[in-house]
Amino acid sequence: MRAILHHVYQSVRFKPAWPMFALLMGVTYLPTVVVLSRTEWQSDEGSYGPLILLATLFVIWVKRSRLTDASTRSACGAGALLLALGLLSYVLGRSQNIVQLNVGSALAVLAGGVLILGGWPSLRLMSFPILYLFFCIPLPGVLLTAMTETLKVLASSAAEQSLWSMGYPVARTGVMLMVGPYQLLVADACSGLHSLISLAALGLLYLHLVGKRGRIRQALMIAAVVPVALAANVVRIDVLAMITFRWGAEAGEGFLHEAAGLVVFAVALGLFVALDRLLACEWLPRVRRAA
Amino acid sequence: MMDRAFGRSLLLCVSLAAAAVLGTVLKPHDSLAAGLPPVDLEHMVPAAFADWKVEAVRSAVVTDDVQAEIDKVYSQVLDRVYVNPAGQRVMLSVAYGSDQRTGTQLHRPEFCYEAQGFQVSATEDSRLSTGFGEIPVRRMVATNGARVESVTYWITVGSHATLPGIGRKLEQLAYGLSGHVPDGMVVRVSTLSQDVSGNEAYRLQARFVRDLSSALTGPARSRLTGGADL
Repeated sequence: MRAILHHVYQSVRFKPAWPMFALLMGVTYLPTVVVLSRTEWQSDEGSYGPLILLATLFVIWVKRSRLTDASTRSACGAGALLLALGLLSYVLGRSQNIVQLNVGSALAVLAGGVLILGGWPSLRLMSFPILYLFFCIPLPGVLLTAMTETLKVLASSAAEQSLWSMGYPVARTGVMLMVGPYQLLVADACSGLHSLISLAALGLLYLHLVGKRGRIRQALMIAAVVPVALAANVVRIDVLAMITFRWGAEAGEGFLHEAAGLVVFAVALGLFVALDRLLACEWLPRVRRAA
Repeated sequence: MMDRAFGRSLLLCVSLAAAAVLGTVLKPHDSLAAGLPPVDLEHMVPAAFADWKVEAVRSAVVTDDVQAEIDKVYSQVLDRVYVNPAGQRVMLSVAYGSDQRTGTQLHRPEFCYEAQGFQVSATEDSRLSTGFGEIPVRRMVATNGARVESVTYWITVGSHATLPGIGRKLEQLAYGLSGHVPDGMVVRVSTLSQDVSGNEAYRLQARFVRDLSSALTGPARSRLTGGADL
């Protein structure tokens, strides 16, 4: 009887803690989402934001049934600290219009709340989706400008070299490519920063959701994200330069410009998955054994 | 045991709700600009002072993208070229924005020059005496082909002269947390290398700023060069 009562008590009185926490997170961060959807998510560089948020919510939803209800004293202390820190940055970020603080606070508030309600095992369970929210924090303007400039120069010089080795008459001054009679400007949007971040985010999500890997394979895959994304962008610029060279400037702008971006993005993701499959092949450990 | 757990989750929910409310309530509402006489750059900055005279109203060539960006952040822009009897030209550019919270703040001149194809080099921070106090200024050389421009600039947030970066952030926070939406300016003084070059350029610009400061009316001076240091 006591056991049954205990069970009823737990399911009725205590279980609502998680849904309540989720609901209040929603209420607290809805204005933040509204701000993001009016600013960052509208821009080229931040358009992947909503997908990150959806992916995060999806992963949390998938794992929700494994959340525990037991929290230890140490978890509560650490949780309270994280929560206080998070809420402080939330209040400061939201009231003073500092979007990085506002969004970033969600990581600390989530981690703190999970620790208080569910303890360390629950935080470990939710560590991926919580850390994944990091991708939602908009890059500060100074960093964005610096990264865009660096990537632009990198991408245009790599595109120049690859086009040259394929026999195209190409020359470059800064971020301006001359292919035959045509001038192509590698604009901010072509820096590849956008596809780099999106691909990194998608790649990590894939690594988390699909398959079990050894530590080495996981590390190799994480290390491969950035080179694959950079290479994909160079291929995109190459393809656009070739289209322009063969069929004229109009062909290289307009519809094909967008389409090439999407196709190359898909190819890069495919390459990434292929690499993962390749590393999973049986012959790899056998080679090591033979050696 | 059970009640302690319940208490914890209640505390968690209450603190979340409190933060949500505080975040909205603490938003600054008082526009600093609304309480002061309106800024009219054309009238605030005299067309002739000391031995400087406006030569021509400069209309810089900007691309459509840049123009759209300008309209988004600036409330008013003043662009003038002054010349002295020795034939030395000094360009003065003042941009005013009535909302200097993060997100709608004025842009750093570095970025404006770079966005228009200039290379920015020799950036250094210094202090400049206006004759009424010292203000922090940033100096840099912007190069685009044969055009080499020495630039001195500073920004104001409310009535404080500062520089972009942590100084500006702190000023914004100080105003914001006391409930005010500060306005602000970017004041840029520059010369071309064909007129003067090197340190000579910065000396000429410093003299120009001193002459300008003493020619401004009190309120105009505190708007342009900050009131706190005066």
